[in-house]
Amino acid sequence: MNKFDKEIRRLAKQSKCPTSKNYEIKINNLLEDLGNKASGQTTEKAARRPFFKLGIVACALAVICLVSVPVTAQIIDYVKQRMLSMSDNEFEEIADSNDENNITREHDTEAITYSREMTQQEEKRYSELWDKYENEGVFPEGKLQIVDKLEDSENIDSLVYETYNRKLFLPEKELSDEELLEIIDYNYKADYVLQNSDEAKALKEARQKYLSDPYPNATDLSEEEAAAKAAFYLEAMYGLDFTAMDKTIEFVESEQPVSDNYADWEVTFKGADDFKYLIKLSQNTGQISSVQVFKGETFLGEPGEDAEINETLYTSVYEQTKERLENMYPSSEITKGLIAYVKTEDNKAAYGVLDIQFFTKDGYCFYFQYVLKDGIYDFLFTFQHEYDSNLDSSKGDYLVILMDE
Amino acid sequence: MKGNEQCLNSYFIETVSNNKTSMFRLAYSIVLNVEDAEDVVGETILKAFSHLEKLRNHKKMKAWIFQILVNESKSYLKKRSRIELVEDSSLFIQNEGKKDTDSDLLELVCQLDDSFREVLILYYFEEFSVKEIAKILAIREGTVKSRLSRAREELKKLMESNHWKG
Repeated sequence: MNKFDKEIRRLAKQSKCPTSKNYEIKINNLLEDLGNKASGQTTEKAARRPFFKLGIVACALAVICLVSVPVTAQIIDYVKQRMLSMSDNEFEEIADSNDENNITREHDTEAITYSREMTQQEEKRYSELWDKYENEGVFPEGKLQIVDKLEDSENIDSLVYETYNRKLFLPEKELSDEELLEIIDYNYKADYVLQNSDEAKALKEARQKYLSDPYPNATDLSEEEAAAKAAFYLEAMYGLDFTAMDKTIEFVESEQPVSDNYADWEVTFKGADDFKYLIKLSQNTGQISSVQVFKGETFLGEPGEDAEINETLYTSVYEQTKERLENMYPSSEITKGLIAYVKTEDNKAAYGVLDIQFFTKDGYCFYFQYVLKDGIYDFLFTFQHEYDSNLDSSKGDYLVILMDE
Repeated sequence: MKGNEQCLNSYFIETVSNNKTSMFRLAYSIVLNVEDAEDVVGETILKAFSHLEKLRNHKKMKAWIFQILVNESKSYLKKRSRIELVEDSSLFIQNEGKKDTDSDLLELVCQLDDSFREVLILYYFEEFSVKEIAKILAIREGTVKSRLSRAREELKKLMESNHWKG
């Protein structure tokens, strides 16, 4: 920042605002009215609740099918999830480009220049697509073509970004939505890498350590690692910003060790919206042994009544879970995936619980249990072998549906 | 999600309350009249509140409100169809009688072209990032940066020609 810039900032801070004497009062009164109106509306809705609830029960299936995280993180940061899903290779590629062009956190980055001005139509669509990218999770199918120098590009008539000169070459023809999204996507990723290179490096190391040995030896999990792994899980599975949450961590020894689990790290994250996430990690194996979600003191995700189930619903849950797993471990190569439940006599899922298992190329099995009524993953296990479900099959037959192979 | 709706309403009210001066300043930099700017802020608050369910990411609330504010200010201008700076002794209540040697930066900024005023206010007074400004004004980041660059030059010239002491 140069001298003049600093001077403007200083003057801006000192600047007085020419409001009228009653402005503050007017705005405060307006806000108070809005607050009162909102409370009034809530009261009306509460009176209608019994009928509303019946409606919810009747169309529960439709709701669950549409919902990604129905109870917990309603406000999903699509951009953050997109950034977290970046592969290590892609992250490094952008980081290297930043290094080569001396773009650091403190450096006031030069504008990326364009080979031509965007047309009015392109500008309009660019703005609309940007909005969809941020608020609806609309992302490009492919990636922006990036070259060190333009002469390295195979096709100079297509959209390409030259890192050497930080120049974006736009083809002469009108840019498609896909191309505009690729530009938006790259802008976000480049900024994200710039802002998060240190944290990302730490997270990458934690991920690599976990992936290289998801079943570590006893006493391998330190308090810091437990906290990092728990936070990593929350971000990947629920898109939550754990940095904005209060965290506590406790070491709890088992009174009666089960199998090889002698002690757990219990990491609790508490959000401002009264949700609490208690993540237990085995200190011996380093695995996440359970994740419990609470609203206030009410435990969510408790298996409950048998629930309606159909192909659309379980496929939706399967795909969502697969996406979350790939989000957590982008380098994991899933070779097999299945969903299972105990099918009752009346063709429901016993206790409203589904098992989901993924098998990866490196020989691991990721096991999830999903509670339909709350949309909660009750827990996640990782094993070096196939896992036998703990679902109570006394209510019916354990039905296994192969989804990927 | 009743709980979440109430949280969002509270968060909205808190955000507006914390930024009411900033909102006025931006509106004023566009409409260049105290009374009109206050009306615009009021309209913006009502409009934003009625469309709150459209906001998906509460973290972006301030930028979202400012985006609405810019649009409302420009709509107001079109309706009013009067754009010149009004020299009125009631304008700068707190700076009454103070000119030249004690001029406020905002006064100077308001003498520039509207496209320069917007980016200067958003960047220096409200400290939004270039990316956020691009979103608020619905223009490209490159455009924001080039406008900022030109705006700084014009502001500098204005300060020098006014023998401005700040």
